[in-house]
Parts: sequence; C-alpha cells; structure tokens
Amino acid sequence: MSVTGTERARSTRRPSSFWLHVDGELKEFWRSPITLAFIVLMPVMFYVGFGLAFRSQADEIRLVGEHEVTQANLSFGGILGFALMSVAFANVAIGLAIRRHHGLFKRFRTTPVSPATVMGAYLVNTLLTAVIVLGVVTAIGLLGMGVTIDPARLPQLLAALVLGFLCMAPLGAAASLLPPNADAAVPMVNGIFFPTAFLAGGFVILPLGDTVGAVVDLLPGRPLTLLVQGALSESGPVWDWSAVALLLAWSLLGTVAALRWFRWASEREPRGFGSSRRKGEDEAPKPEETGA
Amino acid sequence: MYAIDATDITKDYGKGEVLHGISYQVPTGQIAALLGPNGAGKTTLIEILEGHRGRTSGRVEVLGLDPGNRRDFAQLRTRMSVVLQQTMLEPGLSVRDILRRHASYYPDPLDVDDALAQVELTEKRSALVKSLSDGQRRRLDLALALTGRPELLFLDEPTTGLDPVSRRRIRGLVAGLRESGTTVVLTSHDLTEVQELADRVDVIRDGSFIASGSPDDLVRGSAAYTVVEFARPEGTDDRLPEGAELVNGRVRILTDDQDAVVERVQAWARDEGTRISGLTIVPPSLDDAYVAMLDNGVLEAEKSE
Repeated sequence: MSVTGTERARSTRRPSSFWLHVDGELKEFWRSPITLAFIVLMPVMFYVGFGLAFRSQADEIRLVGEHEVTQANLSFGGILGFALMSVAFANVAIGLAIRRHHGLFKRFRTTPVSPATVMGAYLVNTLLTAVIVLGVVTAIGLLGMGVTIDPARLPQLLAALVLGFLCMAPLGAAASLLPPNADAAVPMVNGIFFPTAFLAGGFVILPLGDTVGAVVDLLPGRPLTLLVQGALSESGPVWDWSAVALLLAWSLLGTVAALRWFRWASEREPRGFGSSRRKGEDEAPKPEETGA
Repeated sequence: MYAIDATDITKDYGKGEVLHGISYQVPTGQIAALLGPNGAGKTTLIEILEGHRGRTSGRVEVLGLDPGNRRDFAQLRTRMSVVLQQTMLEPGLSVRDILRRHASYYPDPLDVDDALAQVELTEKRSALVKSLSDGQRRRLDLALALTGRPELLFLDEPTTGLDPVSRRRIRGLVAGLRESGTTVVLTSHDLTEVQELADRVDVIRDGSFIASGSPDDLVRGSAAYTVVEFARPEGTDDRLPEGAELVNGRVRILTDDQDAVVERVQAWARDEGTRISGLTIVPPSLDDAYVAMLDNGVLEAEKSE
C-alpha cells in the first residue's frame, strides 16, 4: 500500500497519544482546585506553619540517627518527605482509584490506546508535579527558613528523592486498589498516608515505644525521611544503606502488587486489557477444533 | 454478510452458566437492539462480543475477527467503538482536547471539527467538559465513538436520563449512522427508542434468547393487545359492549382483532340508540410486546415448576 505525501505529512504532524495524554493529565491536574489545594498547597502550608513555629530554633542542632542536623534542615527534610509522599503516594492512589471507579479507565480500555501510554502519562504528570512542589518547598526553605544545603551532598539529596519517588508511586498504584468505590478513595488513602507521614518523624521525633518504633522503622516513610535528612546533615555517613534497601524493598513490593492486582474497571472482571479474556480464550475451543 | 456472527456461546463464572449456548447474528449495516431484564446475560454477551470478557465455549466472529484472540482483539479495537452507559470524562479538559487525544489512537480518524459537526457540538469546541449539559456530554460520547470511523458501534443506553430534546437529537444521530453503513448494537430500556431505531431486536432472558425479529414482527407475534377506547355514552347505565371494561370513565376493550371490535361497538351503539365519540385505537407497542413476552416467560416458568 502506498502512502501519499499529503497523508505522510498529515500523519507526521499528528502529536503522539502519549504526549496528548501527558497534556491532558497536566491540564486536568492544574485546573482542579481540589488537587491544587490538597496536593500542592498543603505541603507548602504545612512547611510555612512548621517553619515559622520553629523559626527561633532554626540553628539548633538535632541528632537524627548518626546525623547532626539543624532544626531548619530537619523540618525541611521532613517536609520534603511529606510532600513526596503526598504527590507520589496519596495523589497517585486517589487519582487512580477515582479514574477506575468513575469509568475513565474503562473508556480507555475500549480504545486502541495502550496501557503503557495511559499509565506512563499519568506518572510523567506525577513526576512533574513532584518536581514543582519540591522546588517550591526548597525555594521557601532556602529563601525564608534558614535552610542550608551542602553542595557536596546535593547528589545524595536528589538520589534520595528519586528513590522515594520510585518507592511511593508504585505503592500509590497498589493502594489505589483498596478503596471499594470512588467516595472511599480520599478517606481510605489519607487514612494510610497521614499516619505514615507523621510517624516517619519528619517534623518532630515522637516518643514511640520500642515495639511501635520498630514497626514504624519498617514503614516506607521512615527510611525516606532518614535518607533526606541525612543528605541535609553536616555530619554522619553519606548513605544509610539499610534505609536504601528498605525503600527498594517497598518499591518492589508496590510494583509487584500494582501489576499483579491492577485492574481497569471497578468490577473484578474484566481485569487488564483482556487478561481475563485471555483466560476465557484458553477455555474456548479454537475454531479449527470445532470444525468451523 | 454479518458484522457479528456468534454461535453456541456459553459463559460460566463458576456458579453455573449465565449464557446457555446462544447464537447471535447482526447483519452488516443494521441497527440491532439487544433487550432483556437486568441479570439476563445481556452485558455478559455484549462484553464477550467486545472482547472484554472471555467465553467459556462457542465461536465468535466480530467483523470477521475473533475478539477472544489477542491479535484479533487489538485489530478489532481500531475498527469498532463502544459508548458506555456512564463513564467519566475529565472535567478540566476541553471538548477539543479530549477529541484530539481520542483521534490520536486511530490510523485514519475523523477530523475533530467534522466529528463535532456530526454531533452538533461545534460551538462547544473550546468549552470545558464540566460546563457541558448531560445531553451535550452524551453527544460528546458519541463524537468520541465516531472519531475512529468505526464499522461497528456498541451503544449502551444512549439516551438514559436525557431530556426529550436531547433524546430526539441522539436518536437522529444514531439513525444517521445506519445511512453511513455503520452497524450498531444498541442496548436500551427505552423501547420507544428501540422501536424507532432498530432493524432487528433480540430479547434475552436467563441466558437464552426468547424472541428475535424486527420490532414489527415481535409486536405482531406477541400476546400484547390493541387497545380500543371511547367515551362512555350517556344513558347507557352499566351496559357495555361485550368484553369491555370501564377505565377512568372510558370504555376500554383489549383485542387482537380491532376491525371486529369496531364493528361490534358500532352495532352496540346502534342497539343502544347512542353515538360513539372520542374513539381511539392504540396498536400494541414494542413496550407492550416486551412486557407480554416477559410475563409469558414467568407464567411458563411457573407452569413448568
């Protein structure tokens, strides 16, 4: 089949589905007052509140694990972890659950668009949002809260944040499977997010008992906070390898759970782009077997 | 030539069969309606045909492809469209944004402006989805479905919850699809809509078809009656024509032979020395036929028990 020059020109002018999905996700996110308030403004407001509350102690040194860190950097590290969890975990979990239960994914499933395009665009938007929110928080910290970042430890900080994103986003995708309907998405996800975020010790070190403390140390919020605060310290080891290993383990767990149980529609079946169909396909006799 | 040709389909979810070896054919270019009460197996059948649900056994060809085959299914999705009953459209996107993105999925899509013109939404091109009325959203659904130039369109309850003007508009659009050669499979609980649009109707109940044919065939073959009514003449006291009853001050006769009844009523009026006024003859509708079919089904089931 030959393709005319006009047809070729027309097809090359068409933007790809992926970028149109990214464009759609960006517009949908930034035009929604609710997502702006809860995902973008909330970490900023928290930071401003905590930062002002501890402003007089900004230069005091705190001990976090083996790290000595100023109160300003401690609050800043805590809010970076909180903001990352808000964008990459809570936002992803709520967003995917609402899309699933309101039938948006079901609509995509009836078209030729690939799941990789839909999910990839969603994750790109989440990543861009995380960069913007963390950038705003960092600007506030550097300009108004007495935060100092050792340039030598900047790569460690960036690596900790990337690792945190790679852990939280799959966990968010997995957590999106928990709410039974769209109305339950916000309370259920926030019921996981807020305790995890506050117990992580990003803002204040809570006097937890040994048992509770040991459990909290295993949750993903704690190692993320430790890595970020470690990167903002002026002493102590550059890498906390046990925290890195724990985040990677949570990332793996989230990825496996999200892929294993992911579904595009509210109901259990069909799951995925025809995964249950393929099961049925196996059960159905082939045309040649039926002699048709 | 069939757009859909399915034979001996069964579906078992593990708690017994919900489809019992049914066969379903839809000729190319026709509008076919699939009717049935909730839980009859309608959605299961449709999802098997769409390729979104597996069948337990049977042979299915949709546009000559097997929706249960991974490669065929991928090809099929570029040649057919599905309008779901109620699904979300992103409220923060404009009509144009959504159509443009949707068009990017297909090799030879309709131009966005052409698609909007087809559903009479051109003036809403830049409007955000959240500003659209229900009827406009439904027309946008239809525009999205038409964007890929589908050969086959599955339409689920296209006018449910819409005002009469929007309903009429959507029906006009669907009727226009037949002219363009698109095959449409319609599921609807609005039987006036089905009677107006469908070339053929299949009624499913408890996983089996209980009736198939054109809307007129189904009405003719049903146990539904023509209703002959007239105003009760003064001075006739309680005397009514044979087989008549009084309903809201009007005399009503249910019949499957309206000519004989009209003659009988005229003869009765002559005998009574009165005149008939306000005579109405309402033939049975598909709605009546459908209810009669389901009622018969219940009676037969009760008898067999």
